[in-house]
Amino acid sequence: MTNLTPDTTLPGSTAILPDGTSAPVATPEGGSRGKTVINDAVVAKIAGLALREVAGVHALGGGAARALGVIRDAIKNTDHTQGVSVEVGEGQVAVDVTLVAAYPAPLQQVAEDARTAIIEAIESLVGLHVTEVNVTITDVHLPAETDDTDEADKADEAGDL
Amino acid sequence: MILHRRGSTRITTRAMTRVVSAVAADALGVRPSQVSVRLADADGGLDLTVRAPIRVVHLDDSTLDAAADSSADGTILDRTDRAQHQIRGTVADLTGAEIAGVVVRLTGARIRRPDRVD
Repeated sequence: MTNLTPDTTLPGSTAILPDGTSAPVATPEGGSRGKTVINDAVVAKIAGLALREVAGVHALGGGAARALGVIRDAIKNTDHTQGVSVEVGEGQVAVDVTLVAAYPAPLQQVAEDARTAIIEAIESLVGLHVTEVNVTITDVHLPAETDDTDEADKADEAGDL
Repeated sequence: MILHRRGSTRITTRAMTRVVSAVAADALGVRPSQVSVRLADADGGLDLTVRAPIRVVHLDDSTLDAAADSSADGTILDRTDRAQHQIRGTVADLTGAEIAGVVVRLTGARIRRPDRVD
């Protein structure tokens, strides 16, 4: 992981092959000392974890992914890549994120914060260049939905004209 | 869809509808589930149609609330007009969408005492 840097022109860095792996590090004697492979799942997980810190993000993933996520959470098998899909190319990565925002956060701001968090995390931790982060806000969570009591409903019914 | 330097942001119809219903519910003093929202395109802008009941105070309480800045403040038409402006402004702020027009249709009245505390 430490050997992988996006800028192959830097001295001491390793070239990144088209399959996302780094070329074997050459020793002064001309022999190979191994290569570094960072799996797509690692990149997706780092992006997913970075999103947890972003304010205004209520949950990750669409409806089906979140329903499944609840079950996974219950059996202590949280999927940290939920709602995140990555495409790793030649030293570059493109990320697609699906999320649910919390009301009343400004949606464009949430998307921009999520994008910045992912770019910073991947570029600093993985060392791949992030070409783009596409954010889809599928839903907005309203806090009142869960707070609504039956009492309020009854009062409402009673007050109907 | 708004293009950024590094990637795009897409807000689905469902998310947009939820924001509008929450804002409208807040403006009219009802619950978000009581608000129905229709989104339409108007030359690239967003046309909102909101159908919802409005919260009114009981007639017996109207003198009590006449001075207070509450849901009893002004006629129903005045309050709906204010709600319409509030929906336009807040939705634009929250979603970044360009709002072409907002239509508010009142479907009924909910009689409820205003909350004494927020």
